[in-house]
Amino acid sequence: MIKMLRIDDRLIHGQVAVTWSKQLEVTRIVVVSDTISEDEIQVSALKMAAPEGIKAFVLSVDKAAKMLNDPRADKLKVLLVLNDPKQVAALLAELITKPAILDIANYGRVAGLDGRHKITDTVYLSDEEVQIFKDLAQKGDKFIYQPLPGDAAEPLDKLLEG
Amino acid sequence: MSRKIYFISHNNFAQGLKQAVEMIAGKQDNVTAFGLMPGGDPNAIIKTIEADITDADEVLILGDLEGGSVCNAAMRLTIKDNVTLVTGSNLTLALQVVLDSDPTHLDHQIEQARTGLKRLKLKVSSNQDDNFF
Repeated sequence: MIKMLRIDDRLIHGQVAVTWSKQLEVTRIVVVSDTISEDEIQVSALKMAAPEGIKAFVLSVDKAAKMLNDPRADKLKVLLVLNDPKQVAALLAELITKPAILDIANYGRVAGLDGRHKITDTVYLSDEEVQIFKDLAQKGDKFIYQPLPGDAAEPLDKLLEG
Repeated sequence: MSRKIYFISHNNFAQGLKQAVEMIAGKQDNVTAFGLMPGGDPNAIIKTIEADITDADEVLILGDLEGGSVCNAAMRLTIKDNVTLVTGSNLTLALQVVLDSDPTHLDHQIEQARTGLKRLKLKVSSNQDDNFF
């Protein structure tokens, strides 16, 4: 099962590898990206960033959907990490069973703050990206904002109204 | 019995360590950081810790440097059975002790922190996914 889908510019880093992976007791961390999965250096570095006892994978959107829709994935505890809202929407459209939690944690700084509005201290979205999340919410894919387990989870649609 | 954790150091290392831990693991109310500033008195830090703890607390002190003045000053607290002092503290160890507060795990956590100190070199290999299931 997919315990969480997290949007994070920094992909596998301390908050993910140390804190959330323990909190959610995951056995797999899967970075989903059509571009990064083609980059051997980034793939190798991400795999080395996985904590002991957890296997990391870097998969394209189609490949990830295929693997996660496989019945054998039911017994795995998976944390998905993506850094692109468009690919998040593409993946969610393909998944048969949705992630238990949809969390946007760190986004916008790496892509560049130009043309992006501050939503929270760690989330900056363009108008186009705001629309992606509004469309997802309408389909029932509601995101929360919760960088760390100890932070209060705030519904993204409330934050987008504000 | 409540657990109290103290980071002690030369200068702002202890405060910086606490901030780094909180960036990754969130706010830690049971962690207090004390740094010895130039001209400061290491015993004053230890007295502050001593006044803050009771025999009912389970106390862990992470110090920066064995033989350094703050750790030397903290040594006298270790005659209490409920006080543990560990030196050579780093972010790996600091994270471990806040995320898993079971004191019986401390030796393992120290070992983990030790193995985290190593040369790290990227080994580039092709993107395999055949061991996913």
